[in-house]
Amino acid sequence: MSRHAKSRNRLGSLLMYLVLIAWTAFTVFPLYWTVITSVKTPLAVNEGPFYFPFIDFKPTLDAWVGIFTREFSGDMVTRPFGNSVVVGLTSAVLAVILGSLAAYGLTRFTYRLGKIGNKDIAFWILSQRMLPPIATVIPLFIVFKTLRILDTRISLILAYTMFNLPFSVWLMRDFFASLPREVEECALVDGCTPFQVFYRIALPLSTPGLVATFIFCLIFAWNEFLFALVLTFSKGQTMPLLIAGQNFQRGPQWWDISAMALLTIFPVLLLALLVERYIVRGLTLGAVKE
Amino acid sequence: MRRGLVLSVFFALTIVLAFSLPFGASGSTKKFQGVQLTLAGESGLTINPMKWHRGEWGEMTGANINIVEHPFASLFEKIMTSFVTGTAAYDIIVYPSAWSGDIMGGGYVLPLTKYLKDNPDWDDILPLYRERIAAWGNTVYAFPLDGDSHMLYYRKDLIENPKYKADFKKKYGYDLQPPKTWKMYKDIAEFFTGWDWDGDGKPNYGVVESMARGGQSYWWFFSHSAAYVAIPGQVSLFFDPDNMKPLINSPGHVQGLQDYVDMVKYGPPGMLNYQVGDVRSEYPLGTAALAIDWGDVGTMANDPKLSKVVGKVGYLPLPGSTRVWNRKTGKWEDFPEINYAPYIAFGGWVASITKTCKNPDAAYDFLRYLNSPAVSLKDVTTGGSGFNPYRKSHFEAVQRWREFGFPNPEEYLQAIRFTIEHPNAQLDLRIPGAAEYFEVLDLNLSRALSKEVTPKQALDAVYQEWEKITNKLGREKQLRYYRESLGLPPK
Amino acid sequence: MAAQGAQPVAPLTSSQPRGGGRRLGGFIGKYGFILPTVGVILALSIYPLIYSLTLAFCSWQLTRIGGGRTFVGLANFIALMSDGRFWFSLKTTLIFVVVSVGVQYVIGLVMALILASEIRGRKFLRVLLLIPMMLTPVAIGYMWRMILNSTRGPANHFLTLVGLKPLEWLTSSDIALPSIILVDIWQWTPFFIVTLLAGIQSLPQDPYEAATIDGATGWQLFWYVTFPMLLPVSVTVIFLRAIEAFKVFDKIFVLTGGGPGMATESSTFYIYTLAFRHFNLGYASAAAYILLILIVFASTVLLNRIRRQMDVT
Repeated sequence: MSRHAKSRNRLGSLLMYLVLIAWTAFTVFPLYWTVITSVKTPLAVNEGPFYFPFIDFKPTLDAWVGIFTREFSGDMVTRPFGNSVVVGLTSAVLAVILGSLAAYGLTRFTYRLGKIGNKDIAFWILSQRMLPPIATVIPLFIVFKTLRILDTRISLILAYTMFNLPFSVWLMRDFFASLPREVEECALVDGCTPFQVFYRIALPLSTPGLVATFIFCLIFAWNEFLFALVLTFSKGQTMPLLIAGQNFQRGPQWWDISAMALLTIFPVLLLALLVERYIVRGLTLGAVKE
Repeated sequence: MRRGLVLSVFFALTIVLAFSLPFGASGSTKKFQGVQLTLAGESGLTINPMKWHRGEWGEMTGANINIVEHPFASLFEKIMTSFVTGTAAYDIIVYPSAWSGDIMGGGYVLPLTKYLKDNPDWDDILPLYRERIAAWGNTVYAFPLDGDSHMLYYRKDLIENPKYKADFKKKYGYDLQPPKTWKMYKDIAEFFTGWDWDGDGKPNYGVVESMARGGQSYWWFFSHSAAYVAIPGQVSLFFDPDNMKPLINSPGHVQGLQDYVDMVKYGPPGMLNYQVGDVRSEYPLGTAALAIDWGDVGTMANDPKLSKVVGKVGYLPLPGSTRVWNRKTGKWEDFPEINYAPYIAFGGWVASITKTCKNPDAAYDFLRYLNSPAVSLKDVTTGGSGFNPYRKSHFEAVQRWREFGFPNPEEYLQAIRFTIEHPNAQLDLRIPGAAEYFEVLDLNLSRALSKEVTPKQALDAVYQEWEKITNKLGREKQLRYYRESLGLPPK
Repeated sequence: MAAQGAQPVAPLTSSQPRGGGRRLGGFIGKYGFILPTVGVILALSIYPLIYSLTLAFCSWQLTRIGGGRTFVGLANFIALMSDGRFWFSLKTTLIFVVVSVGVQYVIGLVMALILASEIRGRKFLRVLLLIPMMLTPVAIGYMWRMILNSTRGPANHFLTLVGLKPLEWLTSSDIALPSIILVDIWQWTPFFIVTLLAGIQSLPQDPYEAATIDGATGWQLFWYVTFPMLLPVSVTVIFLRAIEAFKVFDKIFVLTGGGPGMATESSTFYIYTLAFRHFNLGYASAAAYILLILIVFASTVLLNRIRRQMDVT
């Protein structure tokens, strides 16, 4: 990268670091603020703003203990959390299974239906990702009502599998396309069925891709709000709904809200760090690569 | 293949979690052993009593209540969609009685007739709540849990401060006193805005009121406007009872909205986004001189854990007006006496058992427990319940209120009684579609408050939208419901 | 490798005439890969969309007792044409998308250029800076609602510390939308940082060397070499982001509820209100279809771009 450094003077370099520090501070501050708010007492919030635990205010774990143990809110947190975990994992697994099958098919076989070929199918699948969810959620709501599965985990699993599928197909397609073809061809000649080749050879070779795709799907499902808002009422509610339900009716109970927000973002934060290497590929559906 | 292992672990976990749902039940034999009920209510304050009491009730009966909280802005839509889609999501719903047209009138909740025969505590409930708020037509569908009417709060220490009295008189030409009219309310709000009158180094303000979109601002609006439009014996608040034409843009309502909009500059910064809860957390902190709220600020301002102004708060019914718009003559009229039209804003929270409830007997048992004189007295005298007195015994238990820390419970209870027993008290809109009428009102109030449009423009827009809703729902039907809700004979 | 789709595909088994049983197996095998996905999309996306297209020509008030659907022809669309709230929400959404994505791109580009040079802790910073975009939007909404609170939030505290007047971040109709844009910028600028950084790092060296020999300054290098070469990646990621931004809902739901007035009501939020607060499913479907058509138009442009890039390689 020497080309950028060459013509840069001291002032430029100083400016550069200033911008960098400013942006980093801007990025980190809201997270820091939420963490310290979750250990504040009501007084430290209401008299605030205070910034430094132990200096400005005495931290307490009341909010954290509260959201887990307070007799009245115990199952109120654990149920949505459980729903989020189950719905996220199941829909991500389904999306990855279906998606990798389709992706393998699209990279290894030729499909023809009149003028429609592989690429058209791939783009048709991708176009589903672009649709505004509000357009699909209204009819899905009616369909699920007819099927009597509103307010169940199944309804969210179906919806999230659907919306993650195009993503999963495209990302896996990208991974399969970069695999060497020779081994698979040998196996076919040796009499393996295409499915055996897929399962025994292609899948193991693209495990990193599978895991990355899976984690992305999990994150998207975990963060989703609109479908969950429309399709669930009580038993099927997920974490984002629990958070959104915490408004300020009893005055700003920021300590509780902060603890719950952190509880929601902590798992995704861990997952995001795991797939950090693939983030560019993932979020641009393979259109930009590193 | 370490990652393969990770993947299989994830997958296995999924399956385990998905199927490890049912909780084990212990084998004792209580009345409703193992019964699971789901209760839906508004997140925040008013769900608290359910949280407090479900544990002890569960101990006695062996049943468990799962509570689902929805923010106020989505409570109605969640309840209604669960009904119309036939999703048996809730067994008990706790909702504002203003929605009874849709919920009771829609036939989604169980009539309580068969239970009430052997409920000796029922007649202790004030008739307004027992016969009107909890009923649709002549059938009782709900337990009142909350006696709700707006009232006015003022800081006695300010009104009695000799220096402030003198300054006020110099500026406005009359004595500083607890406000009886909206004109005085406004003067006092203006006088106490923007300077530090309690010596804590921070500027103070005139009023706190709720103004946020989706935060129930319409109830504050009608509290402001009712006295300008409601002449005793004349229906003038929402619709013309002859043809269902909205009265919402009459000059009286426009004046009320103008007053409400004026309050923006007498409140703390950010008041436009205040929800009910913000009023209740700010006023006890000593931010403002005046507040309008249901009975809750009263209890919270006297709770030393929440309040810095214990003992300094006075209570009054909502102010009135001497100038009143007469819609029959189309003129402003000057009244010799102050015209009061206390607005029973909202009408209180009520609880019903849904038709899809799996165990109505258990649900009834829980609600009866909540509603019983002893338990409800505890709730209405406690800050942070969101519930206010609605039983005769609540008003009689003055000693209990004093124990709670009320220095002057008589005054507080008197202000509430004045309101709910006033002959010109105005009930809330209780017809099907009420929530929808109020949603467009809410939006347009918000536009007026943020000065996007003038009060007149906002209410003219509401008039148009209300006409559309009425036409959509059927004018004849709406008119019939409206007259029924006012106790008028059908046309 | 920048802005490049999957490798061209040499089919493995385009046609393999073998034994009869095998041919059938081959057929099932071949289509067995793709049919489940196609089936799911047909069932959970295409069918619902067709269904809601029929709804768009109906009047259906969900809460009216005993009230079913009645065909009303184009009435919903005609009413939408004069529905000021709908067009206002569309305008709000467009302002949101253009300003938000524009600012994100500019900041993202600056940050990417900085991170592309040799600075200490680059790898760590890259990871740190990308965190916001993976977080749950509803939680982000609350985090910022606390920060932007007029009296107790640090945002106004900072402003008063540097001698500025405190702002009514979420409650003034002029500033509420910019505030939501600010939150979106916080969350999604990282997307531009990492994608543009990837783009910059894969640019070829030669043009730089040529330009440096010609005596180009740093600014000239950027303006005449880096920026044009980065343009294809830029346009692709801008489109990707814009289409996502168009769907904004959850942040608004938490931060302002669409208020004050209609100041922050996005199209998705308004259609949600129509469908699930007014229970007016027919009218809401018609409005959703207008939104759908707009997005399909935008995404066709994007998809064609990606496709052309794939065809080039």
